[in-house]
Amino acid sequence: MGEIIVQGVTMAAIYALVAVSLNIIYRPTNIFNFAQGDLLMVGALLAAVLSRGYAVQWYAAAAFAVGAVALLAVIIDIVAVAPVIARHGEGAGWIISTLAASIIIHEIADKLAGPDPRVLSAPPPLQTTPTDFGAFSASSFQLGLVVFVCGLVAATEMFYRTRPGRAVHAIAEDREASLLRGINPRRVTRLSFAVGGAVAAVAGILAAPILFASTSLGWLLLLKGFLIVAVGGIGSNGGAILAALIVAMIEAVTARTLTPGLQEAASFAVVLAILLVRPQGIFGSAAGRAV
Amino acid sequence: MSERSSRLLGPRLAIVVAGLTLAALPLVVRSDYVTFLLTQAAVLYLVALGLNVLTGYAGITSIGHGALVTIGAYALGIATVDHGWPFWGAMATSAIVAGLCGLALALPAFRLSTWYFALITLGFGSVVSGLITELDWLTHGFSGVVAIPKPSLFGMTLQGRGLFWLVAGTGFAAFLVTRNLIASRFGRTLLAIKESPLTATSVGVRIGAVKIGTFIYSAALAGVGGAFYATNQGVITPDDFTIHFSIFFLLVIVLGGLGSLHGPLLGTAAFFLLPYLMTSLHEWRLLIYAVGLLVLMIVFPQGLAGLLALLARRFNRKATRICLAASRTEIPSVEGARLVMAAVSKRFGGVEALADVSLTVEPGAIRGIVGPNGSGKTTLLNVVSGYHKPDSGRICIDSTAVESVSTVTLARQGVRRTFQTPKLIPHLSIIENVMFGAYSVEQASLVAIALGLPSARREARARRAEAMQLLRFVGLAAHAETSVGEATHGQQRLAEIARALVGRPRLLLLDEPAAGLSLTELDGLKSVVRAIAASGTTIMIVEHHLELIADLCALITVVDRGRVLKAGPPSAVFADPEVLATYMGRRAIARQND
Repeated sequence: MGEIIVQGVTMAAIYALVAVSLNIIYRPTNIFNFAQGDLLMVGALLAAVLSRGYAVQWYAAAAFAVGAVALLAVIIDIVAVAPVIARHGEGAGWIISTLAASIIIHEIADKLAGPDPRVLSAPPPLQTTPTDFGAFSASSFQLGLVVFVCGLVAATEMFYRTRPGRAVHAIAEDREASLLRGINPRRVTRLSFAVGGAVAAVAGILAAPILFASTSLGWLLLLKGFLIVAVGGIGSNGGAILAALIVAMIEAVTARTLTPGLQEAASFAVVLAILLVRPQGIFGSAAGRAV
Repeated sequence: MSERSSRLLGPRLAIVVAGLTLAALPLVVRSDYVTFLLTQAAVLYLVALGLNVLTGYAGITSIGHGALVTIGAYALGIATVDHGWPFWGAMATSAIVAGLCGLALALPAFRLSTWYFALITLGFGSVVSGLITELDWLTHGFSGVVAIPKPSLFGMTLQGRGLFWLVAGTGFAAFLVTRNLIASRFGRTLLAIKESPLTATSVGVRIGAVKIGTFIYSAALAGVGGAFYATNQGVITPDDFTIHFSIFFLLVIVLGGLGSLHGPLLGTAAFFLLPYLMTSLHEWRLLIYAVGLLVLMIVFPQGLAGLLALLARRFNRKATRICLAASRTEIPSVEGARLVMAAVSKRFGGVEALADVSLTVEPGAIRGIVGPNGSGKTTLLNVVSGYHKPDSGRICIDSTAVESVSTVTLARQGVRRTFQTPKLIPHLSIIENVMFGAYSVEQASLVAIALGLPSARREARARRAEAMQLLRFVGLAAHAETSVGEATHGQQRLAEIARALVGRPRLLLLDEPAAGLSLTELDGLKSVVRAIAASGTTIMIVEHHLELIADLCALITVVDRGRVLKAGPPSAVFADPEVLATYMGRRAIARQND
């Protein structure tokens, strides 16, 4: 029992991190970046290749990976998102263009790094070996991960209450009207892509000690991230944490009884059922009508 | 007659010629391998055709269409090989199973943004490819389904050329059905769903039902495509159906031209002309697809069909046909509705948009609603047309209680409206937009339209004539074929009124119809509104142009901060000191009096 809970909470922390990185880009743009999973995968792979297990090198490698992925995210905005938004406005051309960006990154990474998973250690001094706490056993990495994610979500939410944070909401509401208020939507969008990319890289780096760094990590976690934001309500970080707990717990419980293929089908069916009853997600608010 | 027949003959002749060319292809090439590839291309075309209806026309991106093809292929393979079913029954099963999967995906997705659907289909693709290997008792796992039989017809086994003719013939039939549907009210609805869902609701379209129908149609075509794929290959394994497959279909329709009738054919042909891409560059295939998708989306989203249209326009400047019959005609009279609002209130969070509003509009009257910005005028229209539910109070249109029926039902009962900014479907002409207003009164069934039966064609002609008459009525006859993008703001406003009139409204709600009109257009609007009222329709008009209101309305209501400030004849209301104070400010009035 204790083991299931620890396993569930750890995975929930990783899923929530992915969902938060999706939300950061979604809030100002109303765009769900299909290449987000690949940003995460590139972060994990870069860190795994560069780090050699030593403390300084680990953090240097992680910092380099986060910076590189933030840059990659900005390139995605420049190449695949900004021109499409500029031309189609409210249309959904960005679905196809970010999907294409996702495949391009994935294929290039696959050609360069190969399909084999790589090991990335936990950030020193944390360890992935479990310590016994009586009722349950958990590693110092797992504890650190949970604390980090809670802190990050709290910080993000606090940011959205500040003046620049409210500017992000203003842009989501009406890009042109926000221009009149002296907000530059393109700059805020670009910054959000950079920050969202950085958080995705962090998610990849922190997922790698548990799930290994490989090119298949991207779509796996993108789909999990989507399930989380769909259930939690897109844009809601609080909802993302609760939804991540629900999905991760269901997975931890069914892991013993179902094979992986069936497990995926089962969690997909559960999410479809939830969306059937509450299309806006459990914690999302229904969109207002625009007449 | 000769003009119409030449207009119809052109495309029809082209379609017949294209069909005959396709049929002759395998007789010319005489190579089994090329015939096999041609059959494969016909399969791809069938799937792309369905995907284009969904993604190109309705704007709903599916990244899981390959999974539906997979399901169709496995349904056929398992039914024929493991259970000994005849081919045709198994093929019907493929269509039904894929259609049901489409339904299962569509049910939760139809109320959500399109990107939810894109991700749901992506997840669906992942789940299906997982299950194909997982459920090896059903699918034979990695060893796949082998020795899938060829179909037979009248005792003859169809293979090689025969199979090509079957698949291409099915593709041709599906094209004709799709073409008929796209040209009908359903096609207009798909564009409205993509460009302006509110427009669709305002003319009485049940968007959800249309979306689900589109999903099922598109999924069933993918299922049939899968069945043909399986029989053409003879063997299917999980390796045939990777994510590449779904991406490939997207690329075909984007390359051909999203939302273009001939896009899928152009896209498939382009791929067929580059067969080496499929073999020698196998390793790099997905990367090439993705780069192609990205470049097309950024640089040329109209695809090959858009390119051809551009060239055609350059070489063939069509003289605009001008209808000189601009004289105003009469419209058939209707029985106007009586509108009663009793103590209606509506709040948005802390904002009291409507507070205790009561008013009665008699049948056939024109009621003007005026008030400063933010006074609740548009909210008033929105609660009457059912877009917002009032928090308290009652609204009755004749004997119908507005609170208890949906917006769509109201529209179907003859409550029509226009919007503050005209909401027309951008890619259609003015007359097609007006015809869209007839959605809920059109009678031709889906089947009659799909098969192009004479009854459906007769009705389409009658609707066009009716729309033309209404355009003449509002004075837009000369611009019937103008596309919305090229129409002036004033023309768009009048076209929107004409669209509302197609539903034979008993109550017409006009939201700031005069905004942005020139002086001559204003005169036109005035006489149009008068003539509509004379035909019996009750009109409620929200407007800032006070002279227009004073001219048109016997009774007006002034609202301010959600409350009725004054109601009565214009001369009395506009002289009222309280109304003047609201409009000009107390200080301005004090200064005027000094």
